[in-house]
Amino acid sequence: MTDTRSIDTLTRLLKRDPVVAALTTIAADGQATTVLGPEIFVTAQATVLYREFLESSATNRNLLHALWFEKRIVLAVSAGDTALNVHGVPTIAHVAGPVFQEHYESAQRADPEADLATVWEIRIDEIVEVSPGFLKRRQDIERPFFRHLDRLVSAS
Amino acid sequence: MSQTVQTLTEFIRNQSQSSELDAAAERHPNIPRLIITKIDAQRRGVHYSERALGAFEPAIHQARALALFGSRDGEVTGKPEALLLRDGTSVLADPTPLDRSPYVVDVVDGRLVLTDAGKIIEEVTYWPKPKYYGKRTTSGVLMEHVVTARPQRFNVFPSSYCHFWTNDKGCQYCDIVNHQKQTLKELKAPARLRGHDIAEVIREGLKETGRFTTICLTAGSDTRGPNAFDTEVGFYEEILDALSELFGGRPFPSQLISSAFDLNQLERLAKRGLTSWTTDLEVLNPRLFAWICPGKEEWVGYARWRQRLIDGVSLFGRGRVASGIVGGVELAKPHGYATEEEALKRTLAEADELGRQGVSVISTVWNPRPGSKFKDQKVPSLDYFIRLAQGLHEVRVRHQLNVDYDDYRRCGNHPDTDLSRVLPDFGNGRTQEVTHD
Repeated sequence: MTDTRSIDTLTRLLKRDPVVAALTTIAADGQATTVLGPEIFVTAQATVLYREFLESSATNRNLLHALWFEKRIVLAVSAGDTALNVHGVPTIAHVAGPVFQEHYESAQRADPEADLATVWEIRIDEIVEVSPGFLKRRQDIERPFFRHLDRLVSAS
Repeated sequence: MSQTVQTLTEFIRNQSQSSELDAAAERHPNIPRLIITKIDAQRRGVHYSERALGAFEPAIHQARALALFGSRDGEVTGKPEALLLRDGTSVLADPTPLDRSPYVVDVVDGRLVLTDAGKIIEEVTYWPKPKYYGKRTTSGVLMEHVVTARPQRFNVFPSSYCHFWTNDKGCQYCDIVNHQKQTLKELKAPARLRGHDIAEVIREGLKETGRFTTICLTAGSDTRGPNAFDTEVGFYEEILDALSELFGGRPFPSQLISSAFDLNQLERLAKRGLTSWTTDLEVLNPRLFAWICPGKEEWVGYARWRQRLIDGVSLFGRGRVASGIVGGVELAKPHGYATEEEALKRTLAEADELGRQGVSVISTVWNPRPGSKFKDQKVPSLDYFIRLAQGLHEVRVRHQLNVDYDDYRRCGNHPDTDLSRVLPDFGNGRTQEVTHD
């Protein structure tokens, strides 16, 4: 589910230092590609922008395929004990116009060698918390048959 | 572009009224609906409502101005140049009178949309205008009359006269000379460009960072010279020299769309830094070529034009040479193919043979223009154009041909190269030059 709190959590997580992010996309033939450390921004309209620097990359092709055929991608973000998986669908490829221009110039200010190919806008369908601690606590409550009994003995 | 695309996408999907576009999308589930939309909009043309024209801002959006060819409404300027779909695909659709059943660009709930019979098809935006438009060169010419723009490409048309028309043997679908007369009169544009003006405009254009990645040179054919087309080669030598100076002698991505130069002529241009070459067979059948392009037949002939394409691969490499075709013209009456099936089969067979030898075939969506001899011809079905685009893309897949120089954002006029955005890097022998970190 995606709600304002989830978007806020994502926004705060992306601002933490250090933060780890990974974007995974799927090709038409089913092959997955993951890019580490993607440049990600959350917009005021609760979408995610991803800066793609390589027109020829598998990620760029996969994002196009996802846009064309309404397929999901996943963005994993983690900082400290908190981790989120953001499931969404690319809806716009900014290749010209004010959004592209703004990000092109901003990327160049940060790195004069940067050559931005596309700014992908991703609609967020769902933000799921996957923090290890949170998932373990939930599993212990909802799926007690999965916990080894020796954990119960040592806890008692 | 609106950020509430999800809501609009759902709204579009939930509209109950079906259309030819919906039916085509169902028949071709592996072809992106956005590309089918582009094909149909270019096939039928577009009409801009008053609201859509009201949303067009000349200060930020690109208007139609200088072009080699005319449009279905016969007007030279004033309307938006083109549309952008949300995947970055361009729609270079002709402004078309309402009585010819075009798509309608309108504004609904504050959004610019493409509609058909009142149904919203897609949200669109106008092409952004480059910042150099409206400025003048030191010689006093409006810069957009020297170099026009595509989303990421400079378009240089050194001359808009085609010498095949001198003895009335121009291509039958083409209105280049009639359009040139209209353009010279209404826009007061120069008939012939100079290299220094072109370099000045491109230098100015490059101040807008992130906007341009390549330069395309094209003009009407010039048959003059000691050998046929030598004068035309001379134009391009002058321009390439001026551009080479601009880039400090460094190679720069470029595409030349020209007459069928021989290898000697091509070498003169390759050593000046030209990186890709296109020469248009227009229709992939020698009998139809002779009928539809009598001037090309008279001066070169199909077999020799075709061979020169293959020769060009030896100079520029696989994936850097192409022939354009006017998609659909192979069905023109009375001498064209009798059926769409036959036209597709024969056209794609020849495209495949050219692809095997390293030449890409790139198609436009033919729309008969009022200033051409074929003005009363009918265009083929939407299905035909979809299958043609898919077939040409599959040729490139089979023969591992990239087509970066004429793709969705360098040109934007070819649905088959729009599909080819998904091609991986084929290298074509150049990858061994890359070093590892």
